[in-house]
Amino acid sequence: MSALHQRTVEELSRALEAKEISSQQIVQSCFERISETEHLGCFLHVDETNALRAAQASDDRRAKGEKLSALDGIPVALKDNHMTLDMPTTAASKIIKDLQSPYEATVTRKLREAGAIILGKTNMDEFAMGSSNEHSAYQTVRNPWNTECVPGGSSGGSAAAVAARQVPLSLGTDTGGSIRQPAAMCGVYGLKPTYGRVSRQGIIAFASSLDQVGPFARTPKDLAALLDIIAGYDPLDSTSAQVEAPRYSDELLPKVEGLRIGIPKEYFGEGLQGEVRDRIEQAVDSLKEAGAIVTGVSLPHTKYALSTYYLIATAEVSSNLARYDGIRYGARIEDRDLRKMIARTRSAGFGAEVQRRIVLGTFVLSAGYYDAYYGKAQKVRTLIRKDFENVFDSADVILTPTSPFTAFPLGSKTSDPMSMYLSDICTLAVNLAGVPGLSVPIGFSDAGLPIGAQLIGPWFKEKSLLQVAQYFEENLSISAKSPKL
Amino acid sequence: MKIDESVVRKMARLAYLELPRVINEQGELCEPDEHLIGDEQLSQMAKDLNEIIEHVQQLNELDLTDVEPTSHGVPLPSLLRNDVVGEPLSSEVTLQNAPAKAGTAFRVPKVIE
Repeated sequence: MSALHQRTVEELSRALEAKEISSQQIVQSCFERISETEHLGCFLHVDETNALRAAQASDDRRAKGEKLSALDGIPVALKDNHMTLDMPTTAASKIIKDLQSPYEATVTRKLREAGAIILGKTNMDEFAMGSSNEHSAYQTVRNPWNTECVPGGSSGGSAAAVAARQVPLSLGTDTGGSIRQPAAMCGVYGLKPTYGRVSRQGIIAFASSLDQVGPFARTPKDLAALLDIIAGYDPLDSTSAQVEAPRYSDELLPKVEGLRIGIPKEYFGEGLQGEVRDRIEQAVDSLKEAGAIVTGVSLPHTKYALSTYYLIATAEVSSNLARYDGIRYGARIEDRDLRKMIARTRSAGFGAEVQRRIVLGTFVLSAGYYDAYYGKAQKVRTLIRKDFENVFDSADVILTPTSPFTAFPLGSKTSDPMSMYLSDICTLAVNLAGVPGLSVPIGFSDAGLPIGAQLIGPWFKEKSLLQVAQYFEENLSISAKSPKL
Repeated sequence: MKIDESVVRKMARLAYLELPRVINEQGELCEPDEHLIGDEQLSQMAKDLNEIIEHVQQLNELDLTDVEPTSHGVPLPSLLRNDVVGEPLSSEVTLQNAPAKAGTAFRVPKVIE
C-alpha cells in the first residue's frame, strides 16, 4: 500500500475505519512530505503541535467508536486568507504580517467541528490578486509538475500542496478563477461553488460580489466530502444563501448518459493553446461515446467578461482594502500626522499589484467616471448573467477549457499585467454570473504539464458537475499520476 | 480618457497611498524616502492603467439602454438577522494586534488641535 500522504481521503477513511492506521500517522506522513518538498513553497505557516494534538483527539474518538464526520482525522490545508486562531493570517501581505485573528472563519470552525486536522496555511497571491502566485509578499510557489513553472493563482499554494501529495484536501478562494485556474495548472480538482453556497465570514475580502470559498482534492469524491462540510447557510454572512445543501458525496455516480453538454464557441477562439484544444476535444468525444448529448451553444458576451471583471473587482478592492490603515492591526509606519501615517503604512505594506488595483478601483469609482466605468460594467454584468440563463434552458452543463494555456515559466508574465489577466479569460464570467465552476484534470501536454477542463452548471447545481467529474475520473484516471519530486 | 501621472497622483492621494512602495533589502517595511517619490513608478503605473482602460473601452460597443445593473450574480434578499446578544471580544483580544496602544485604546497621532 502507498505511503499515507499519497492516499486519497476515500482510502484514508477506509483504513481509519478498519483501524489499520491512525490519524496521527497520517498527519506525520503529511508533515514529512511537506518538509521533504519544502522547495515548492506551498505553506506560509504550519502548526505541527496543534495538528498532532487534534489528530490524537480524533484517534481517541475513533477508539471509542465515535467520529464527528467522514473527515474526522483527515488533514486539510487552508489558504492564508482564512482566519484561524492558532496560526497567523496574512493573505500573503506584509501589511498584516503576523496578524493573529481574534476569531475564526466559519469554514475553519466547521472543519474543526467535523474533526478535520488543519495542518497549515497555504501561500497565495497577496490578497488573492494574481494568477501565478508570484504576487505573494513572502515566497514563490513552484508547480510540482515542473518547478520552473508557476502553479497558477491566486490559490497556488493550496493547489500545489494537493498535487504534490503534501495534503489530500485544501481550501482556496475564487474571485475570477483563483481556485479553478491553479487546479488546472496543477492537475487536481478544484471547485468554485455558487456564490453564496459557502460562508465567507472570516475570509479576508477581495471583491465581495465575486469571492467564494471552495475545495481542492485529487478525486471528485474527496472534493464532495469537503464540500459537504463547508456548504450551507451562515447567519453571520448575509450573502450566504438560504438554499438547502444536498449531501454532495451521496451517490456520486459517473452519470453522463442523456446529459446535455453545451460547448460555447466563444471559449475556443484565438489564444487557446493547441494541446489544450486537443485534450478538450478528446474529453468531449469521450462524453459523446458515453451517451451525453453534446451541442454547440453561444455565450455572446464572453469577450466583455475581462473588462467587466476588472472594473467591478478593482472598485470593490479599493473599498475593501480601505480598512488597512495601520490603526487597529497590522503594520504601521509612524508619523506625527495621521493622514501621512496611514498613507505611508499603506504604501509600504501593499505590493505593486495590490496598489495598481486600488488606484484603478479608485479611478473607476471617482466622481465623473462612475457611470462611464463602474456603472456600465454592472449593466454588462446583467448581459453576461443572461447569457448563462439562456444556455441553461437547453444545456445541463457547459464545458470549456479552464485556462487557455498550461502553466507558464516563473517570471514570464509579471512585468505585463494585461498578459497575466488573460490567463483567467475562461473563468471570469462564471464569477460575474455567480454560477458554480469545477476544473477537472483531463490530460497533459507533451511537456508533461496538466490540462484542465472547466464544467459550469446552473446556480446551486454543484452535484451535476461532480457527477461529470466522476465520469472523467473513472475514464481518464488522471489522478493516478503523480508528479516526480 | 488618458490617465497621466497627475491622475495617478490624485487617485493615489484619494486612496491614501503614497507612491512608491518602499521595502529595504531584508524585505522589511521602511520609511519611504521623500526623494524617491516620483517619476519612474508613477509613469509605470500610468502606463499599466492606460493599457487596462484602453481595453475596457470595448464596453462602449454595447447598447445598454434599458439594461438594469447587476450587483451580485445571485440575487440577495435584504436580510436582517435577529438582534441577539452574542459574546463580545474582550478589549485584551481586540487590542492584541494593535501597532500602538494606550490602556484599553488604540494609540494614534493627535488629530484635534
